[in-house]
Amino acid sequence: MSLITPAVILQALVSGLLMGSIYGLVGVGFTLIFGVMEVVNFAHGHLVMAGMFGCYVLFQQFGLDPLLAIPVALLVGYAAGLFLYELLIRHVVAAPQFAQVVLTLALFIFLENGANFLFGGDLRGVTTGYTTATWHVGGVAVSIARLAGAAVALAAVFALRFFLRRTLFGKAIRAAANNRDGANLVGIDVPRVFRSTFALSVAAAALAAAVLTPFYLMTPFVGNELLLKAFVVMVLGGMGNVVGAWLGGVIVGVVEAVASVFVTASLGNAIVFALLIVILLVRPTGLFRAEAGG
Amino acid sequence: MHRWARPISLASFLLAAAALGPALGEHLLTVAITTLFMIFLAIAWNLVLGYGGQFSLGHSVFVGVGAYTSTVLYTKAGLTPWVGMLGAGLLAAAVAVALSLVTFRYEVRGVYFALLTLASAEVFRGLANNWEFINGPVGILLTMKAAPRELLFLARLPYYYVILGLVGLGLAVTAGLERSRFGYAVMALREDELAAEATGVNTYRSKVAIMGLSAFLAGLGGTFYAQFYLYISPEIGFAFEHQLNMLMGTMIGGAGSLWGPVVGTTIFSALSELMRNLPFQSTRAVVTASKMVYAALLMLIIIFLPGGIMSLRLRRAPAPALERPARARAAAGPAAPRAPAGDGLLEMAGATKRFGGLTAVEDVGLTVRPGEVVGMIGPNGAGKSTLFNLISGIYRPDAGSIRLLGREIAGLAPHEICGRGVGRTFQITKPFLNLDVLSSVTIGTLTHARSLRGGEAEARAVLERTGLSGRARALGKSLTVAERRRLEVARALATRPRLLLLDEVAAGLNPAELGEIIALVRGIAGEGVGVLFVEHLMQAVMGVSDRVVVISSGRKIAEGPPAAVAQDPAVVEAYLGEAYVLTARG
Repeated sequence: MSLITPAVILQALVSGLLMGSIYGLVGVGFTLIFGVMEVVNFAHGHLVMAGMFGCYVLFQQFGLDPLLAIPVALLVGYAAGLFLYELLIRHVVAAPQFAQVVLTLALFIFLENGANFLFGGDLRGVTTGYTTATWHVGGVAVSIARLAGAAVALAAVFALRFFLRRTLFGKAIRAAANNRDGANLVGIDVPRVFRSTFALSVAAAALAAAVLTPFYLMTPFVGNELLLKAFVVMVLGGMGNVVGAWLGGVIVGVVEAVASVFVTASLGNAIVFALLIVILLVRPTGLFRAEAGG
Repeated sequence: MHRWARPISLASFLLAAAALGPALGEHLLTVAITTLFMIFLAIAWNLVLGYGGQFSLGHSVFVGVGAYTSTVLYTKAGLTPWVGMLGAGLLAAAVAVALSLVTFRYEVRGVYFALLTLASAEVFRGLANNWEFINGPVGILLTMKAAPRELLFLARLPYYYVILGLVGLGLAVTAGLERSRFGYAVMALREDELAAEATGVNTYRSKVAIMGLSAFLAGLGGTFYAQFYLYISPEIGFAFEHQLNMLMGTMIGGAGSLWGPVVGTTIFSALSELMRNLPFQSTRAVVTASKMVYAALLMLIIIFLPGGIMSLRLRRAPAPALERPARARAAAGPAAPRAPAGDGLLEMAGATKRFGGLTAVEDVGLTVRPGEVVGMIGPNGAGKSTLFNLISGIYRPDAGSIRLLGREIAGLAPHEICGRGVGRTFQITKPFLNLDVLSSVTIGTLTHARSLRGGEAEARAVLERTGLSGRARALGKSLTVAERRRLEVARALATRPRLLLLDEVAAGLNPAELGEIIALVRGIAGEGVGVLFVEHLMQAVMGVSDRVVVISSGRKIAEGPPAAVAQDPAVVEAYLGEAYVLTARG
């Protein structure tokens, strides 16, 4: 255990912080639709996975760098969200919770097997010019790809918060989250709000995919792990709380990174989920105040 | 349904499948074994989801625990998996019970329960990966050999019979559950937890027990899995794949139905076999493509046929015909045990309930004597329903005492208070939507009935009395508003209450129905049951009450004979907005 020096721990903290910021972005879309529509989207991780394969194809076929593909990812993600909402989600928005769980799990199965059908189960990755590049700051190695991803994630979360707080449509989303019937009564088009919220959530998933692609190895099964991370992020941050989700992501990233210094990585994962269980038991409203768009 | 219909259909299914076994070729036999394995796990999961209404997504934990238990007992201690399988089931059940004791104590429900169980599967996988004793991620390999005494065969056919036997066990357990007191309790809990509690069901214990039973079966499945594939590792033992298969099979076939998991899983396997004949490049392509098709089918089912394929069967329900309550035969109904002579049936003193800064009920004292009908009136939001919730144990008072027959009941769980003799109805009716009227009322009798049959006989008498006999086989969701109110009363009566709390049972009834309810309440009180009766309809309150209590802003402001209370200035003032009700009466 003499390998655990302050420098190693500092390195773990920095890596965890960067990765955690991206986990926060993965969780933001997830927590947003739960906060607004009370739908738990079990396919959220698989939407990120699908986005990663999309970025992979763009890179392999057209040489488009994933970070430069961000505008494409946002647009395609938003459109895919509208499509999925119209095709599937709108049928179960008012249905019992188990119907929502089963429907989104069916989408999970569909996407996972679709990716497996097209690409197979092998690990795939994208090698950009900066995939392995690092900056050394005072003995700590900072991965450029992760730093860029973390910065984009942070900016996206605060942009979303600004949108929800300061724009009229953002306020309509928060109103619909707070009281569906009340929002309807004051003239807010609640179905439209739901559709746009779902589309925003998928766009956030696509953005997360774009920033993960330069350094994160993908398989069709990676969605499951990302989904579980999104759960932890949502529960830690408070259901529907956007900034809380980002903070939750940072906690997950740091706990995971530090745990893998002291124990193995697979046990670190187990520790993250044990943390989730404890929080679900004792403080199901999350560590931070729960409010959609907060 | 005829009482032999279930056993006969079950036996024919098993015999047909057993006869089919030797006729299957090597490939089809393997397909049949994996299908039966998935069916078996789906049957186990259906107990928790379909019957108990608890959305577990962590059932792969129990498969993994089961597989490891018998395999470790076999490889390390030489115990034959035939016996080890029992240990596997028991340890899986113990894990499930421990997990449920904690999660249900903290009242984790619905989608949170799903998340929590899903996370627990990840925890178990992580632990197994790091536990050297069971070889960590490497897993444990079994030797392929012919050793029937060690549950190892070279041929496929014996495995086929083993898993068929397990499926038979699972189906028998399910069918037995459908016709057992425990099963009724579990189904009531699925339909409405609060109503189940108020009808005397210990929902906490039922939830824990159904999880344990289901995990026991899943654990047996785990042993079969390890013995058939001769290998167990954290990734395959605790795979989410098992859980998804259980979910797809059950949901497509129909959750909460005996044959649902069989039908749904068989369709999946048949689909995969059909797709095998299409010109796909690889096995992987076949498997993934058939799962995509199946997932799409699941989406269609959940949107257009949420009850699954089994819900397509036509249900023969008798035509709705409300008969008049059998007033003359009221005495034929179950007699409530007479309370000891004396005045205190219910004695409430200084009861107070606060919600944050709001005091909903403040320092209320109240007495109900056996055979007495006490009407409770008060403006909306006065605290009447809160008082009911205090007496029936849904809320715990912040101060004061509530005694039933001299014993304190404040702080007891609703089902315990029901067991002591308090029956109640809900203002917003809470029928068991997917249970028929007879079963719903039978659940009430299980607080005291020795057997399900005895309970049913008693329930029929209660239905007769409340005018619901003609609707005995109608589902709760098909009832009219008036019928739902009667069902509330019937379900409460079936628990043989000493004290009956009626929360606005006359709301929305026409004058003839109102007359029937009043006669029913009088009849019940005539047997010595104390009745506390919340009502807005003054005609009902004044006509039936021996005494009237007026509640306003959480306090008791008047009490006395109906006529006197109606003249009370404090009451008139409290009712200023509704004063016309009083004047119209006079």
